[in-house]
Amino acid sequence: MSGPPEPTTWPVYARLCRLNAQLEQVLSLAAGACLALFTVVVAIDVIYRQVLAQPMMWPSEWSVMAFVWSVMLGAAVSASRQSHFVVVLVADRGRAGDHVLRTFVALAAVLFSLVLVYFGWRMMMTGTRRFTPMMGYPMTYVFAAFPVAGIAFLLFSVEQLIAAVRRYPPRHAPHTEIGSE
Amino acid sequence: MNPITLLFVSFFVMIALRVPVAYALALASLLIIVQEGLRADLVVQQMFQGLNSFTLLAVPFFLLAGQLLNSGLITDRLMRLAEVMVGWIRGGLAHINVVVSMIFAGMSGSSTADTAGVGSVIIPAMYKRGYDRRFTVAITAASSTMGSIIPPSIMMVVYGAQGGVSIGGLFLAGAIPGMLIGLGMMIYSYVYAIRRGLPAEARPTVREFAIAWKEGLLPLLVPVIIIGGVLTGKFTATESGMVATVYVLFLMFVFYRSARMRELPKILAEAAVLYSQPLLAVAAASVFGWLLAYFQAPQMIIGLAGDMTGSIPLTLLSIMVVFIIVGTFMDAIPAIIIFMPIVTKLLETSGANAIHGGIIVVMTLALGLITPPYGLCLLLASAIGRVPVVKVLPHIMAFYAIIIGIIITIIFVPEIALFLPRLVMPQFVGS
Repeated sequence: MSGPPEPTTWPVYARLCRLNAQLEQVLSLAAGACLALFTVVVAIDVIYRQVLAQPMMWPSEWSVMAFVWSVMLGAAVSASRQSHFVVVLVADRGRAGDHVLRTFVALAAVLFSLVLVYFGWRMMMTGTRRFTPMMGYPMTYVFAAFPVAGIAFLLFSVEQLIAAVRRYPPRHAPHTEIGSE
Repeated sequence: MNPITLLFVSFFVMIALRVPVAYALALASLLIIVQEGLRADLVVQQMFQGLNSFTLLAVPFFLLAGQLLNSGLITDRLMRLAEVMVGWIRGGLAHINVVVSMIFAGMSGSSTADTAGVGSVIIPAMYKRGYDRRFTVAITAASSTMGSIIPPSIMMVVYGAQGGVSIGGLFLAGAIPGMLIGLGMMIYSYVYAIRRGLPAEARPTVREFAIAWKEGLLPLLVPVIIIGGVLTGKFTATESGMVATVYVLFLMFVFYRSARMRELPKILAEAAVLYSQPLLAVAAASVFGWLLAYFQAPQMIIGLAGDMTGSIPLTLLSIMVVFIIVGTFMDAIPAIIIFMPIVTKLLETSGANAIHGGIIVVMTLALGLITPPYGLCLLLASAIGRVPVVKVLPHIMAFYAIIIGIIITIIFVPEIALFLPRLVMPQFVGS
């Protein structure tokens, strides 16, 4: 689990760890809030259609937008906790190769984050000219989830890259939480 | 190298080096997109398309329902109910393990929620009564697979949404096969208990029986709400998931008062983090699946399959074998999304029923939850029971045999799966 970094660690890294620990908290609560939002919106939709017999247009678009946001923000938190699904073929044995492997995985995570930030940003910009089919909201509202989550992914993966290169213990031990419990 | 081959090779190299599956799917796709000169913006655009579906909202709801059952002490009530029903049979705790997973399966769409919730209570109880640790972990993991087969099921929702197959029809088709698996496991446990001299639990008194039913009755309404809502057409699968979630919240916070309101933000936050993991893989798998379709992989597979598609059982058997392999290293939901175009094409060509094919795929992928190296339920049960996966393997073989045996039986006798959907909603089943 998370713990304060050793005093001997690089100060920039220590600061990044503290920032990321807070960011992780905020993002997880925001993801939970999005979940609450789409639960309520779907409930309103069902009540209006089934009980009041007045079907409405906005709930389906609102709920999908909140859903996309909650997935992307939650996924950023999972990236920080290193709990995204990983296939473990051989167990760690503390060999020299493990350090290289850890660096490679962190590099892949950085690359994935950059894809989310750069192409997510480009998609978000096209969203000003694209609108949702029923209510006509700009797609920017939902596309923004990708670059925003991407920035968080980037901060977390840079932390992991520094930790891997400098051989610091990770803030969250990877693979301790096994996927979706 | 052929783009499809390169796609798979780069993906496998990355997951072998422990890159998370979701990242590997997206990065392998990016490599092919750049190499083939397609627009790189496609990666994020297809990821968005993968998530942009109202039906997928059922995933958080069915997962949350399972989480809530566990955190609100409702699993304990279900456990007592299972105890009075089957605890008095020889090998009582093993039977309780299977039956409570069956009931849980009817309430949550997730197998891992079942392993975590039921496992953390029943594994210590079975150890205390002298059950072999390896057998205990094996049966806990194996019985959780029913969570994905007995309705509701997250896998079926995703399969139905991706393949345009009736989700209600799939739900109904899973009921009998799921119960057969439970029955098979109970028969095996009974024989095992006699051989090992395992005890039965005390026979419940009439009073105990009545109390357990009274306590368990309200949670038992969850499956009724979900299945009833979908079958009567009142709700979609997603909406019924929402209704079930709200109902469980009501039980927890208002009726039983087993949790406090101030815990709710944390419960919701953790649930969101949890479902984001399979769903990020869904988003990334959409890019991968799109590329497979773009490079005409389905047509290629049909070409390779040749005359085999002339026989329905042969086609379904090969689908089963492929998904057993896929299930050992990949999560079920991305697997469905990636291979859906190929499966649909194969089923169409062979003339197999779409619901029949769907049940075979879902059952096989549920088996994948207990096959190493990537079998989430097995990993989870091993972690809870503190037994290394390798030691559990010899004991879980019997359960593999039961599940595979039932899948093969259903391949040759489709009526086992199709009987209920034909009875209740014939318009969605087709020939």
